[in-house]
Amino acid sequence: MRVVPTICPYCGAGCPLGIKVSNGEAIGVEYITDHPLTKGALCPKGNAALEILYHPNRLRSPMVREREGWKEIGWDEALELLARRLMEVKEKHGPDALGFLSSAKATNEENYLFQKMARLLGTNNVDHCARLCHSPSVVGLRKALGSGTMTNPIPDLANSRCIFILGSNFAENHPIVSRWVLEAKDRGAFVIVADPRYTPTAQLADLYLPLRLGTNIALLNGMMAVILREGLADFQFIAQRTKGFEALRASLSDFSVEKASEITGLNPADIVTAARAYARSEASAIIYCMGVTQHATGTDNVLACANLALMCGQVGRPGTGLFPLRGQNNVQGASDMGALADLLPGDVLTMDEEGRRRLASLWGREDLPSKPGLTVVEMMEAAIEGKIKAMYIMGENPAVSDPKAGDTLKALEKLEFLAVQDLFLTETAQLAHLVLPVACWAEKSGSYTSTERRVQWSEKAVEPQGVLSDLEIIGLLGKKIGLWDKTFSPEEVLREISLAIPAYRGITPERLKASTEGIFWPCPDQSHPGTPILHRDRFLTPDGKANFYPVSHQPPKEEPSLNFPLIMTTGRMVAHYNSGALSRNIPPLSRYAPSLWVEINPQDAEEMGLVEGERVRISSPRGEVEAIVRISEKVIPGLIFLPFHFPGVNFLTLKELDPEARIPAYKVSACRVEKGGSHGA
Amino acid sequence: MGHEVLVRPERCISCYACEVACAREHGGLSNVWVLPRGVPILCRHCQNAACLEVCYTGALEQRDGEVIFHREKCTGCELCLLACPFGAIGLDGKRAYKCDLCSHRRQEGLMPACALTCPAGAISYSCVADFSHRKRGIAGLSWAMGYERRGK
Amino acid sequence: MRTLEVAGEKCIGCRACSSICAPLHISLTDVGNRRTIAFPASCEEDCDLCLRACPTGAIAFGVGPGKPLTLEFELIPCSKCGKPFATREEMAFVLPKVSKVLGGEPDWKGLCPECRREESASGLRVAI
Repeated sequence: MRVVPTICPYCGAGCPLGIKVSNGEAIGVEYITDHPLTKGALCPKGNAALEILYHPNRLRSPMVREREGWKEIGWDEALELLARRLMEVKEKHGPDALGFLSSAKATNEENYLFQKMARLLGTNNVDHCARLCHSPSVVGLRKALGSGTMTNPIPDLANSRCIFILGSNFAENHPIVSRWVLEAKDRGAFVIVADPRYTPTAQLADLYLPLRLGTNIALLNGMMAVILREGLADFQFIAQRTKGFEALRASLSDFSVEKASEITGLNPADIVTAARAYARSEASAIIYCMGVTQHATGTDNVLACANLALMCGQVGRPGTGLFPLRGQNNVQGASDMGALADLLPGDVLTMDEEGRRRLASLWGREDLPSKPGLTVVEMMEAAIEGKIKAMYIMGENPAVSDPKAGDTLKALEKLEFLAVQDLFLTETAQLAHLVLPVACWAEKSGSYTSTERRVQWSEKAVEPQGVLSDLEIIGLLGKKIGLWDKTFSPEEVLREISLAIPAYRGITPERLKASTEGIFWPCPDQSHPGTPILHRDRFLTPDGKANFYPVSHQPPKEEPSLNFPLIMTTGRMVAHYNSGALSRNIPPLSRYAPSLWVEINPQDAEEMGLVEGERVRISSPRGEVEAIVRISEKVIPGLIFLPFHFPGVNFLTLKELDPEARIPAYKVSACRVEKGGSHGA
Repeated sequence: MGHEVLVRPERCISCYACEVACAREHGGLSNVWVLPRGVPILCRHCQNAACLEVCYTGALEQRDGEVIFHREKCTGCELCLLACPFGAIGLDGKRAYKCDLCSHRRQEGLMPACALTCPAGAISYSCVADFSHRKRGIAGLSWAMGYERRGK
Repeated sequence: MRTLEVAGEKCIGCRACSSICAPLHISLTDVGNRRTIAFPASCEEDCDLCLRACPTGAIAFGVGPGKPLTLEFELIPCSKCGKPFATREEMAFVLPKVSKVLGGEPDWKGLCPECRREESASGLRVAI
């Protein structure tokens, strides 16, 4: 019996997960206690991860959809079909008629090869779900600091004296972060949580700020106004390490705590307390997540967070920094690998001629497509318009995850050809013409990059049965199409990645396999230990200085109306994961919420005559869904909360996009609640 | 000597990791219950255990600070369940069940799963003296260093 | 024929005999606030588990004309959540033993096990 070290396939924390293997079979989970992030800890999803491996509903054979149902076919036939249909569309309509959705859950090697395929075929229409969650961080922090990534490692939070948590419910969604925030608290740190909902994370707060939905900038600008007024800014840091402060100061000159209080609904004294605590502490950190990014002003929201941190000199030292908590086990990696419409591997814009040509030459080409491609939501709109004719989707479930998901269903149904590669027959796979079954994390090896920029190797624990890994499939497909002449091992691809991406230059399979704790990029050469804390001496901008970007509050894109008098927001819960494709299939997890529930304030419930456990129908201007009532004080009157792990929730959400990051405004929709489901009252 | 599963309830984030881990280690039934308020409840291995007093078959035995359950002697009467002040004993349809400090793991030199898995560090496996000592240290440090909390 | 002789006045309505009998000859059903335990007239199995499992010695075996017996018990409701959770007789059996160990009546008197968990939990959270 041996314990194989893997990386948990769920969230972006990147916790180690030991799989006990005996006679080629996985017989249990074991805790890997010498990892600095977790010391062996694992959240409930990680604990139940093995349920995925031997799940009876796992896809076992390639299948095509025929009128009578699904027909199983062999791998050769499946790959032939896929190659032929993609090339037909390319020949007839051009490469931009193709859409590629990469997977934030597949390995770095798989993401790299997938986007390479798209680009060698001539299109930048390759994107993935980071678009829907942290694209504002990728875009915004890149503008402000030179890199769209978390600045410090999670355990470093123990060194913070003040932790400001905005729009993040890590107690449920990145539970291991709680350990380090609690360590900081044990050492006397002051914790502030700002969230319209009183989540388990808010329970950890010394100061809880129940701000109104969509008023992040007002709060942050209010705090900055206090900091300027009381002379608490770090002027030395501002002078030496930043640009653009005067413009920020000017933009805040007519903003006040009173104004902030009016917009956010918060007590002015609390805004002052938060501002003073954050500015005065020796080391302050900002943890943020979807509550900041998933708005039509997501990028501006992120820039406001950066403004605050820079104004107070709280970047580039232990215990400080910005912590955008990324959602999937490899969304950071997928972003690094350039599986994004506007970014090539290594954070190179497609429009950056020099960077693009360098990559092209590594790939044996003169040049690569320069125009940024279509993003996740735009691809679906293009499919409805008939501009995208075929899509190849790897490990994503847009039918459940996309905003205004009714449109996505229309889009996928309109495609001439849809191929989906996944573990289960998800809601998206059900619409495909061709479905390819894949290996799960335990059945393949490769590297994953966590939200901390920590690159780690996950070892193969058991052999896949009848399925291929995403890497093998992409390799075989590319060979069939004539893009390359062989298939690749994960190690080979990682070596190419380290040539393509300077930040990964010193990361080799050998170094990763020999290390328990992985390597933080940037790692410029093989003797470099990695870079846990960014921006210590200079920022990653071209001139090494950080940039202030003044931003101002804008009202949310949708307000309550006569027909839709309530506001709905969505989020996650601890036992489920994202589109629920995994967790809804796993009884030890799904037992905590077997079906969709809606959180309603007792006052609102009473007014509407609702009781606990009752079935209701929630509608927005875009669609409707049914849910079971949970009456709770966690939400303020006028606000309802739905977990988005169930199909149908996103029929209601807003598709309005942030202009820079092109993320949908998921967090705010107007809605109404009516008694009774489709079976009557 | 006397290692127990000890809890810092203020750290519990109700993530249910302990429940899921315990159920996995014990054939699908968890010996720990996380209350929505956020505290894991499990057998306290009481020195003067009420359950033991009520059990008439000798299925419960106090040894070295642990209340050991011998399933083969259990009749499934449910009287221990009704005696436990913490509601920490369950009935699996046939017999009683409760926390066994992961005896199958301890046999291999491994710690109880709940203590290892707790992401928030709310559950530890240690002896009362060490745990208490650490808590006092934390309380002292937290007070001494908590100037931001006191609004200075 | 081996008949089953159950002294109804000794039975406290616990789950021992119904749980221990593998072929399920003794049935225990809880509906609302009523518990019904049904015993067959006789039993030809080669065991005496139910006799030995009974905490009060209410079961014996005999010969001669036997008849099936159904015993009914009221399940008392939890003083907090109202759910019926135990027979009066079970609690009468348990409480004195518990009080002896605790040196007095328990804090949780009248609460079902689920509510005892809740009370322990809130007690602990309040104490911080």
